[in-house]
Amino acid sequence: MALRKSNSGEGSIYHYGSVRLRALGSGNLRMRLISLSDTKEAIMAPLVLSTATDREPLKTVNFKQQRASLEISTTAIDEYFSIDKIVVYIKPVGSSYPG
Amino acid sequence: MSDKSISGLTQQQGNDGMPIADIPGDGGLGPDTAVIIAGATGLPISDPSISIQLFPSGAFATGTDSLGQISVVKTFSNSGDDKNFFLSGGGTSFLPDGFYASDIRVVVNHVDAVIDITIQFLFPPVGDFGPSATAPPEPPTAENAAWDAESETGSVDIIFTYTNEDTFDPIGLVVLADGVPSVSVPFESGITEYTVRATVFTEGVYDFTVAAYKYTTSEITAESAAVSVSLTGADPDLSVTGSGGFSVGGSALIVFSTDASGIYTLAKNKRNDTLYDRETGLTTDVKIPDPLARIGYIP
Repeated sequence: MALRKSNSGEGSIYHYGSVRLRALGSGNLRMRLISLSDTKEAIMAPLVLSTATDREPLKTVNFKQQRASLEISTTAIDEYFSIDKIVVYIKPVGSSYPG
Repeated sequence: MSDKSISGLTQQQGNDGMPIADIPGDGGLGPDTAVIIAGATGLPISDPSISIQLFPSGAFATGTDSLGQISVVKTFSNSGDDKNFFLSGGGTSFLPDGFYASDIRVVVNHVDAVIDITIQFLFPPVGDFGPSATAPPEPPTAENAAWDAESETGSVDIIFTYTNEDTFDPIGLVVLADGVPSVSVPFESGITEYTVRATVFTEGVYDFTVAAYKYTTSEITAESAAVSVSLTGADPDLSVTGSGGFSVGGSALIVFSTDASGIYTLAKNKRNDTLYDRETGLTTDVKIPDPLARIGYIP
């Protein structure tokens, strides 16, 4: 969904539901969403990379935060990734935390 | 004061420059002495499915404080959240599933302890999840099923409850569509109700089930060489000696035992690092330590 800029940074709480990627490479692409100050994380199922694909897979996640960052990585030798597009699907679920 | 010696592990370096053993403080060793042992392969350990097994042996003090002579501190590499695991001595202990650590700290709490600790990293079989759920989740319910003809993708909210009744927590909870894994959600201690959105790519009617994935001891294979750390105590001083090094796949030992150094050479499409032994001219390919990318905060 599209978010108005005025929504950003005002303390709203969002549900991060899925991530769609255009990713090529080799190995397993490991992904996780990380909250502010790295206090919370949601580890997503790894994406098996291939050097050519006609799919832009959607990887689901269940994470609720005010803001979150997506980290992608590989951990084994000779693994690599090339990413053209990342779409993170989020939905506002609350206006702010109390206090 | 008796002689104190530190040898072996303290002089060895991982390929990220991290010492694989370090004695903190001013070198004086005594009660509450800590030996910090970094993880296995140039580290930090980042695979949450790795377990560690400890084989303490030797003479343990008896009495009311026989418990807690050794404690192991696991350090979460990101949050800095430390947790303690206590051994009663002479036994074997597994750290819980989901081990995620940058270093392991062995702490000797008793001045009279004469202890030899073997630390063994254990890896589950690669690519073989082999679910061994002892407490299967309750049958799930499905809501908000929808099929998007444009993207040829179907999605549905799967809602289920799971209460762990076993000693070890599961690694994750996996939703299966007609027996095929569709989506997984990490197990969270204390959380019993889960909602996860499953995705399918073929239109149809699916039977969704949920499985708790868990490794048992028999499914775990040891892929690292054991490292022994001997802690010999003579009140009030202790000496610490170590031997060997961690080795997974044999590559790490090359780093520890040879005179390897040099400069970087950029090579197109090369996706690993190469170590050159200056004495023998032999080369060893090792992985680039966990490359990662991180986007800015959303929204």
